[in-house]
Amino acid sequence: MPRALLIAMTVSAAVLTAWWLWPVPPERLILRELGTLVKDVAKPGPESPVASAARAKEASERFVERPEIEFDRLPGSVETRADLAAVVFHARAAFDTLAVATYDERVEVGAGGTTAVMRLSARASAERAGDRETDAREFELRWVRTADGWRMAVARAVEAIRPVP
Amino acid sequence: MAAAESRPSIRRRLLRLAVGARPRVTVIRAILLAAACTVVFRYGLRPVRAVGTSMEPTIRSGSLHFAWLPAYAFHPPRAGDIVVVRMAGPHLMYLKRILAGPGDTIEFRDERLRVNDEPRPEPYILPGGRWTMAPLRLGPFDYFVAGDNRSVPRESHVSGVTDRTRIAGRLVF
Repeated sequence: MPRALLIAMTVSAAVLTAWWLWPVPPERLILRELGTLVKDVAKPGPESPVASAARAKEASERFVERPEIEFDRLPGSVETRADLAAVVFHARAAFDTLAVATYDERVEVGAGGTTAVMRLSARASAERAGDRETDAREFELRWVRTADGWRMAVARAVEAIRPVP
Repeated sequence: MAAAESRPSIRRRLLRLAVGARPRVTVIRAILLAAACTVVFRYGLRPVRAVGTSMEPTIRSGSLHFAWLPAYAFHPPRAGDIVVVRMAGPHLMYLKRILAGPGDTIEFRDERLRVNDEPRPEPYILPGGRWTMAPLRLGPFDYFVAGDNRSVPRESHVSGVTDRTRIAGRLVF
């Protein structure tokens, strides 16, 4: 084997091993979880109830078993992950399409590396019988590191504009 | 024949058209222009695209506007201004009109806006809105903001009180 090829292969193997072993920062893991959640909530078009239920369950798995959720647009109360899956399922069923986009995500990981607070803005747009609805909110999300990875424990809508009763 | 031969080739002419006679000067100009655009659009005139109908008829959904971020560097926001209200960052903001400022008492009575118990004309809204709201006295840093589209029930419209630090700039055009 030519010497140059051997050197190139050794360097490539070393780089790949380092890349594989290098710890992924918690911020990136949390953003990845959020990305998965956003994808699972989204509904690009018509889908079967079975598929919808599966997506709703997958979305709920980004949360801890008993999450705290403070959001006035939630169609129902949520105490457990199963409640959340039901809420997501009904929200997806209520619209023909549903899209969520997040912006300006900022993550602060706690000193012990087991908790994190995330601030972000999110915009949801949904379509029902040709009518489009949009809503934009700021959220504070509290994450905890579990055996299954980073999971959301608290999701709270922050009112940039406080509504008056 | 001699004249035709002395002409620069098409490739050379295209290159000259793209980078100019002095490429180094062109590169420096491009860098300066990019830096100026970054500073102007990040800290000065921020382009904003309206999404949603809450500011209709003044602002149509999908239209492009510019917010002047240093607008309130030297004076406080004023009632009537259309402002951008910051959320978690600069990429998603509310577009609202200031209806009342610190210390004012605001209410919607008989379908009309009243500030400090005096009717406040609102030429920018379409007739037909049926908003009602009990008098509310604003705190020393509070502003009451709402969209111009009063045909939407107040409960399903994002309106209410925001504080001075949330107001990121004023819409200029």
